[in-house]
Amino acid sequence: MAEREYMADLLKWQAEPEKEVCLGDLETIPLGEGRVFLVGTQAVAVFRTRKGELFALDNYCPHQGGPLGDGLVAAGKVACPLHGWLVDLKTGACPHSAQRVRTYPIREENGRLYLTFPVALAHGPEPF
Amino acid sequence: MATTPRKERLVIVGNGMAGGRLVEEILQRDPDRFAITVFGAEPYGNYNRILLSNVLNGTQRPEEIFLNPLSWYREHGVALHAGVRVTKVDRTRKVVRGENGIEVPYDRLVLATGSSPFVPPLEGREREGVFVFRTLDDCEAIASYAAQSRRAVVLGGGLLGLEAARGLLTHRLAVTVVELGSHLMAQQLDPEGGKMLQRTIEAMGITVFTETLATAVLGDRRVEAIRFKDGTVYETDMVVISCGIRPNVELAKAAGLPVERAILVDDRLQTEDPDIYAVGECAQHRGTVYGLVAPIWEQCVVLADLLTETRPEARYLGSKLATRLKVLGVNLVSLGSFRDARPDDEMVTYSEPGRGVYKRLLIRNNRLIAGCLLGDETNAEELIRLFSEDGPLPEDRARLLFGLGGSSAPGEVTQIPDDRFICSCNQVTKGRICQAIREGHATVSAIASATKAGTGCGGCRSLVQRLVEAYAGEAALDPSVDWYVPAVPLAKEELVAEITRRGLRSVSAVLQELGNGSEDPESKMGLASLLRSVWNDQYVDERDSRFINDRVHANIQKDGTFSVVPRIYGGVVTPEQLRRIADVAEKYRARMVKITGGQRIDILGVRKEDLPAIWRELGMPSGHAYTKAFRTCKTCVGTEFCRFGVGDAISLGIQVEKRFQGIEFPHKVKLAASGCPRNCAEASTKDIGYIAVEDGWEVLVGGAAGSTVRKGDLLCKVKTHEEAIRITGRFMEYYRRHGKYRERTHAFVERIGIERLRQILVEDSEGICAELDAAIEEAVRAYRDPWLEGQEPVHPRQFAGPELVVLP
Repeated sequence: MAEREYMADLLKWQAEPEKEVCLGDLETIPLGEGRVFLVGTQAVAVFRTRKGELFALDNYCPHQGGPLGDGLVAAGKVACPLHGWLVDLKTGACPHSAQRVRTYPIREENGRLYLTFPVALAHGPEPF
Repeated sequence: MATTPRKERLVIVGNGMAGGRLVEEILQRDPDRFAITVFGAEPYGNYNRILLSNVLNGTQRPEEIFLNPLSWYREHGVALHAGVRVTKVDRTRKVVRGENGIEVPYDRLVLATGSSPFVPPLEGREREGVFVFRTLDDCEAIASYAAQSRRAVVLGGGLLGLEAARGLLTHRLAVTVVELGSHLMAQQLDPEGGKMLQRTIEAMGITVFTETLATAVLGDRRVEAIRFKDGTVYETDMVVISCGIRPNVELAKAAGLPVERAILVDDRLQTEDPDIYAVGECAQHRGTVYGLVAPIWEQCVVLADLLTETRPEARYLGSKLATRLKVLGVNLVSLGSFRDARPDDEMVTYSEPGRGVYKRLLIRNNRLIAGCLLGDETNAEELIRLFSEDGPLPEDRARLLFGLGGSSAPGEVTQIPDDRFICSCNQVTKGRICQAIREGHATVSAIASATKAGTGCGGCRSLVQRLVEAYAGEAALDPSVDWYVPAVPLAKEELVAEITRRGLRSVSAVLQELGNGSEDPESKMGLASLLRSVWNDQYVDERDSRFINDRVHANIQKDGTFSVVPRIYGGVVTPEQLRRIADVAEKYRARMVKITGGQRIDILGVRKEDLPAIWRELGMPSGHAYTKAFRTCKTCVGTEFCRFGVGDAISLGIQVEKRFQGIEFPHKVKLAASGCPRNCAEASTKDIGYIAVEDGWEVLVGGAAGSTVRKGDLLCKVKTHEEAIRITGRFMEYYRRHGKYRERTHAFVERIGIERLRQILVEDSEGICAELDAAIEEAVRAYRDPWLEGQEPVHPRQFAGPELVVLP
């Protein structure tokens, strides 16, 4: 899977040129939940907390690759739906793993969502 | 002419352990209600007869064993006629007459006349040097005669006899114990245990004869020998008789009260005469006459409650016999009686003759019926508790014998629940002791005075000491163990009450108003589930508090795909349904179609975004295979086709499943209905199971066959499907209300106890059955198939998969 190959390189990030991508309306994400966007080949989970904060992370739990976007958000962390591992939404840190989940800057303007994304990653092989 | 109202006159005949305790209990409840008069044949205050052996063997002085000395009676305004035997009870005039001629009128009379030693028909027993061993006076007499003797024979190898033997040893006599039966301590030990004890005792220098009957005492004026039945003559200087005790019933008989082995009393400890009661060794309750202190004290508590009207509904229902003692310094714990053994009971035995250790447990239906621990009292407290509470036993029997850790392990006294008895003799709970500690009683003796813990057999004193060490000067215990979820500091019942009272209808509202400021996934899920059971469909559904399975009503798999299990009632499916399932599986490229343990079909490997279409094309409601709700009611064929069928399991199963489908619970609930006792649907290991019998159905609850395996307990037998469904609904509603989050019914039923559940749900002891019926009816009414959200999603992107983003 393209996502797994990507994870293998996680610790070798380079300073890549970034671009802002529009993900659509804020309202497409139910309050308190996360939804997943495919940016090129990368699946990114975007969360919208009840307090109005926005977070974006790779949709991939460091444990066994579970879909974080389907997780339950509480106290600034998301619990992976597969085994309950907690990932910090801001930092991507997970107490049980040395690997962090990659996070992305995300903001809202006029009801639209804008994700800052490394261009190089966006133009990978075709998604399956 | 005005008169001050006269106090009711209470007369107690007998100042032994029963009489003395009864007075204490009454004074504690209502010191001014009665004018109390006590008659005691012995010229002392009330003393602990159990500790007489200590007086005999010199480890305690007589003064030390008094519970209530003479002065105590004076101080409490109780008229004590010590040393005055009662010779007559006149029921017509309601007067009691003492041997010194005194006559005391009574309004209520309690007979606590105890027992007297049984003296067998020994020829020559009037010779000097023959004693019984019952009273302080006996102790003194024996001790002073022993000073001039070299050898002693004790007749009777029971507890008292062995204690007497030990006492005589300390007076440096050569002691022989003569027992009629095959082994020592036949009341508490089985033959092997008795033999083991015999070896231990013989190692102390005591000679033991079993299966031996003494027939005569020989000698001129003083004892010189005894003769046995086989003619042998055995030389000795003194004889102590402890061949058992007989209840003192002459007074009652002469008064015309019904007497069998002892004075007959009912559950209120009342005799045939409504003004006359009996407690203790002289009373026979439901066929049993008790000779142990704990049951007798229980009787006194009940009688005191009744006489003072503190608890008019109090009843004595009998006691389980659990004793803990030291016999000749050897630890012995005895529970129940091995004579109750049946051929198919489970017997667990451990025998280590080298150390004189012998342990035996008699188990039936996974409950402890009888037991003895000789020589090693590891785990005694836990066993006593399991025995007294009739609790289920751990599967690993070795742990029972050699230690369960927990309350016996050092440093873990804080884990003991508050309602656990620390002192079984006096029924003092840990909570009571902790309260006493908080009130400032910081030593074992102080706690003993305040609560009575440790004043019976004394076996719990070391545990009381550990409690003092743990709690004296310490902050309160961590209460969060009782909280329903971590973020709200309330136990479930209180939480539900607050939610109802304040009308809190969303998880956010609950966290805001009742939370402790923290937030975590488990709390949100637990609260979401709780709100649904409290408000049914009348609550604010914050979907972000739901686990993904409950957001999309399917079971997430390890690769992020989902599985779909449509409802197949009672495991009965039609060819047409099978066709639809097959078509859907092919169309949506399911990776696997599998038959489940719940007698239905699972379609695996479908995408979240296809779920609404799948549900629509299946045209079947949700099977709830993914959540903490009613799952299935499996069935066997039953009378529909099976040649052995006695009940229509399929019909019952389908009815049950149609009624309760989708109702949510603290955890998943799986049912089954078997059409005959062959139980092909495995109903006995289900949360609720039905087994058809000749004239109806047995309803079982609390079974499990997952990571825990447990056989369900019989809740009741019913005749019709309607009754089965009604009791099911009641049990379900009670479980919804009182089960902890994620507590399966097997743990719930064990925690509450099947007896209590039966009382509440079948006998309606709390009067809530109508309310439970109404509540479950409301839940049934409010049920809506979650798969209808396929047509009417709660959010446009409820089922959305990853969305492809247009790149710049």
